[in-house]
Amino acid sequence: MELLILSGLLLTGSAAGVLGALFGLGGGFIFVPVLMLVFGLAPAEAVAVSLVGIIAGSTGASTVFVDRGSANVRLGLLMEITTAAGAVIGAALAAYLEDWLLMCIFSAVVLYSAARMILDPEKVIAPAENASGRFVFSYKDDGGRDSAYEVQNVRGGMLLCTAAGMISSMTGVGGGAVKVPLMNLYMHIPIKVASPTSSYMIGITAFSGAITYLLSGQILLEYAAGIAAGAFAGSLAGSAIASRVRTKHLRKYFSALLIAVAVRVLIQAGGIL
Amino acid sequence: MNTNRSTAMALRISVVLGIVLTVAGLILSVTGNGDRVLYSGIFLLVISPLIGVLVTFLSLVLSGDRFWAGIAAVLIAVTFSGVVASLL
Repeated sequence: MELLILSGLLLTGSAAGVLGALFGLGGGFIFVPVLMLVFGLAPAEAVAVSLVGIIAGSTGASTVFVDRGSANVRLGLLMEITTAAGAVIGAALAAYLEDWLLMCIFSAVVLYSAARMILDPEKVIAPAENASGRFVFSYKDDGGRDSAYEVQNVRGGMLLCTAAGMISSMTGVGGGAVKVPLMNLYMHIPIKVASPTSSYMIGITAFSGAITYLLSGQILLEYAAGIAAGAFAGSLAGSAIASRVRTKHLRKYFSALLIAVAVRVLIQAGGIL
Repeated sequence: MNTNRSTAMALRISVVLGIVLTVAGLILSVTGNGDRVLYSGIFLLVISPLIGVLVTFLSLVLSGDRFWAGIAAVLIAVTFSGVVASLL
């Protein structure tokens, strides 16, 4: 592999790794178009390499987030069940629906979430004093204090995770772009917990697809290695920055990124990408 | 047994080992001998999220947290079913 190509892969992986760790996204929306347009990979090759990069970034960030307690592992496991089930249903349904229509629906959902995150202040439901329960957790707020929060609308959230899994698998992007606003706006999970939890979940979601590609020999190993090494390094940098960014700014930057994702998917729906 | 600590440790060991093997394989591939090392590194990297879930499950079982251990078990079953279905 030429040094120039390797440098490009490392750079792409690092950029996606930083953004992924900061905002709870997988980075597929960066990997796939760059691998296709800049490195000349076929769509299936780009998706396979992208999945390895997503895992490296997600797992790299999770080593920090899970250890620090900012990712809610229990809630992540629960929501991942319905997300994974939704992805299977979505893959089956995708054959019967037009791609451009799905992408337009996805963009509309993401744009709506972005607008809500900009306009609505963050709402965290504090549990009653001395309350305990399966869905009462705590996190470190902007001031570094331990704050308790009670997850709301768990059943509805799980149902919507099924829809998020369906949309993600039908459009090929959007795991984190749908789940983070869902957790923050609907389930009232603080954004400082929602993003790391989404980061943790994304690796588990990507595992199924990546192992299938790997065992059937469809992954370009050298490209995957370059992207993965960059994504891993980027994710460690991103997770270090994440703890220093204030909640208000995190929501604002995340909304801007959501708009960029929606525009990127709309361009894809128009057949330009 | 602290679930977060043990899960983070499992993720850290598998992903760092995976990255080290991957980079070693990439360097060895210049001489034309790195394919197996590269494959092993990518394989370890790809299965690291699953290793994390398995360790979480074990930790929850050992700490007697039956509800969340059950949730982890269901996720493992759903994930394995999905992989088997896509390989068939």
